[in-house]
Amino acid sequence: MSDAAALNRFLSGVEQRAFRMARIAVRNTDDALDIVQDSMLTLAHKYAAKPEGEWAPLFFRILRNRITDWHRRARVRRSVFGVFALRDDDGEPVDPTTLAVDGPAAEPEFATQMGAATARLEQAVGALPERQREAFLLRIWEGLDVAATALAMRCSEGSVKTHLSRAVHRLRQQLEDDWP
Amino acid sequence: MIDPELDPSAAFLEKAKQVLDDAALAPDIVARLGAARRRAVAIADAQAVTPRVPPRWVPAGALATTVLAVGVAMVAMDTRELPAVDDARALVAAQDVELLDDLEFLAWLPDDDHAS
Repeated sequence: MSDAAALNRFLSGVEQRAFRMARIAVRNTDDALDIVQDSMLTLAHKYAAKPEGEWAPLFFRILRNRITDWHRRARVRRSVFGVFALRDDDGEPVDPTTLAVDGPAAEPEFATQMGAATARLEQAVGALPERQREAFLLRIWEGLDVAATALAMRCSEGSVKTHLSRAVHRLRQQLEDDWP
Repeated sequence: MIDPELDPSAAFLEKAKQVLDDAALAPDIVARLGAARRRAVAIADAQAVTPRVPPRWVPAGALATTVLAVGVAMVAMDTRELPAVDDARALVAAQDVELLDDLEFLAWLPDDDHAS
């Protein structure tokens, strides 16, 4: 099997989960698509020659970096808009969450596209602190082992276990009782 | 596979994974992801076929390094043609006697002018 075919197989196996991870993180479909596309291109451009076994942690590290960049840019946008647009025409203060590009209400149709259980879970996962969310999605959903997750998250294996344990504890508290 | 260390949460995690896996994406999103993947694979394929060309600055840098090395070598060769330091001192010492003679002669000249 050629490298291109192997890369195609790898990307087709992770692309949908990667997209949903990005969408949970940024809560915007188009931005999530851009992030995943950029991550795919970067992997292909820079790391296609690496051994196939290294692709998964590399890809998710790239994805994580792109998501972090997105949040950084969003913070800058918010701070810029915060200076100039936090008051309406009458001079009254405006709720900043209505201006937030990554606010929970940015895509109302987002929650209706999926079942109630999925929506609830994605909402709860999206509300986790960033590191806990990454540990949960990479370890539990993507199925990376602790070492690969640590590589993708740029942290120690001990940190991965701690973040994952806290994420699971928090999700169980939020969901277990009345999860459909 | 759920880690045994999280065994008390295993059922919850299995359910969470199942819920996440079962959610289907809209067809247009799947199509856009597929198109992005094909672009990425095409890039990797093109890179595999075309040998990687070194950046433009590499030949220029190599040329500059060569010129610098040749220049340094030429300066070093010129330096070797100069007399050694000890030889120069000996030369100066040999000339010192004549210089002293000249100085004595020059010192004598004004006296001679006054005398005459």
